This record gives sequence, structure tokens and C-alpha cells, in this order.
Amino acid sequence: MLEILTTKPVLIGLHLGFAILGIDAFLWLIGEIVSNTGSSSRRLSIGIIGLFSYILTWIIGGYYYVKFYGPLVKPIIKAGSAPWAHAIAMEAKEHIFLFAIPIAITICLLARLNADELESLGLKKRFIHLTAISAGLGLSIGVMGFIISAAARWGVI
Amino acid sequence: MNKLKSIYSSAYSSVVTILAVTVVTISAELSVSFKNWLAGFTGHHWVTKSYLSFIVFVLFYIIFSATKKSPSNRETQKALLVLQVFAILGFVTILGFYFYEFFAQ
Repeated sequence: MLEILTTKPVLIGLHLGFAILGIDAFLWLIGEIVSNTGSSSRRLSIGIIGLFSYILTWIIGGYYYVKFYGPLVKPIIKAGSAPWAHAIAMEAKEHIFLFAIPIAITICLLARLNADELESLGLKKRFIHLTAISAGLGLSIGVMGFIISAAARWGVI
Repeated sequence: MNKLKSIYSSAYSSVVTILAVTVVTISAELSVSFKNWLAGFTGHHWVTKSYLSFIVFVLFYIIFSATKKSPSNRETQKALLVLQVFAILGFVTILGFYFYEFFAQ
């Protein structure tokens, strides 16, 4: 089982899948905050899904990056028609991602406040904006990942 | 309110983490010896930066929690605003740096 899980296509699939799950969780959370629906425990559960999805995509993507991307994919991209895909997109992606976990932790801590507390403390708008930034970071990193994958595919043709 | 204190501490420790990641990332690109030194700890510079980001976050969370007794809601609002600004600035700085580095070569 572990042998299958650590193959390149499965790792990429899990990395992408958990990233999408994390982004979706934070977009869902924005809807919950804006509409004032649900309990704080429900919002916290959604925030925790987002946080753990980001942590899993970090670990899985990191393992793939160190074990396979560097020795196998990077040389193909650098020798292909879009070497900037590594030099700009990959380099930026791998480092910007390190912002995502601390922000997601802060979001989970904010999710413990109920709707009345968010309003009375004046934190609702900040909560929405920070969650939108988290989802936006995930989406922009996803776009960079797509560019990198496309550059690797076209690099061998 | 303990909830506010944890949000305040997490927001500012996230800001410090973003700053540390941005400074270390750009410094490592400008200095090969620094990049190799980072790689020397774990075998890969990015893995070292990953551990570093985690350690910095936890360390500064403890420091901010210990030094700030009970932040007001205004102070917590400000901490979240500062985090939002630094998240965007960090994104633009790192992406902009790699654009510059690629096209300047």
C-alpha cells in the first residue's frame, strides 16, 4: 500500500487533492462567516479541515519535491521551452507556501469566536479578509503548480 | 479574554514567520554559501526553511503570549490587519524577486 502511495502520480494527486480540499474549506468558511450561519464549533471544524489539508499537502508535496522533482522534473523544465516555470513559479510557490500554515492556524483560532463575539469585537471583517487571503494564496499556488506541470509535459515533447 | 490573546499572538507570530521566510529565502538566493549552509542541516535548503518557519512560529507565539497579558479588541484588529498586509507584501516580494532574478540574468 505504502509502495503505491509513494509513487509519483499518486503523490501529485494527493498533493493537489488536499490543496483543493483546503482551499474549498476556507471558501466554505467565508460563506459561513458572511451569512452568520452555523455554530462556532461548525466553523472551527471547517477551519481545522482547511488547516490539516494544508499541512497534508505541504508534507506530501514536500516529499515529492525533494525526492522526485529536483532530480527528475527540474532538469526537464530547465532544458525545455519554459525554464522560467521553475525559476519563477516553482521557486516562488515552494517558499510562499510556508506562509499558509501560520495563517491557517490564526484562522482556526478566530473560528472559535461565535457570531456575536465576532460582531461585538469588530473582528468579522478581518476574519473574512484573512480567510480570503488564505484561499487566494492556495489558488495562486495552484496556478503556479499547473504552470510547472505544463512546463514539464511540454519540456519532453 | 484568552481567545483574543491566542489570536493576537498567532497573528504577530505569523507576521514574524512571513518576514523570516522572506528574508531567508532572498538571502539564500543571493548567497550560495548561505544556501549550502541551510541545506547542511537537513540535506535540502527548503526542508530547513520549512522547519525554520515552524520553529519561528511556535517560538514567537510563546513570546507574544507571555509578553501580552490581555490584548484589547482594537489591538487584535490591528494584529490581523498587519498580518494581512505582510501576507500580501511577502507574496509580492518573493514572486517579484524571482521575476527580477530570472530576467536580470
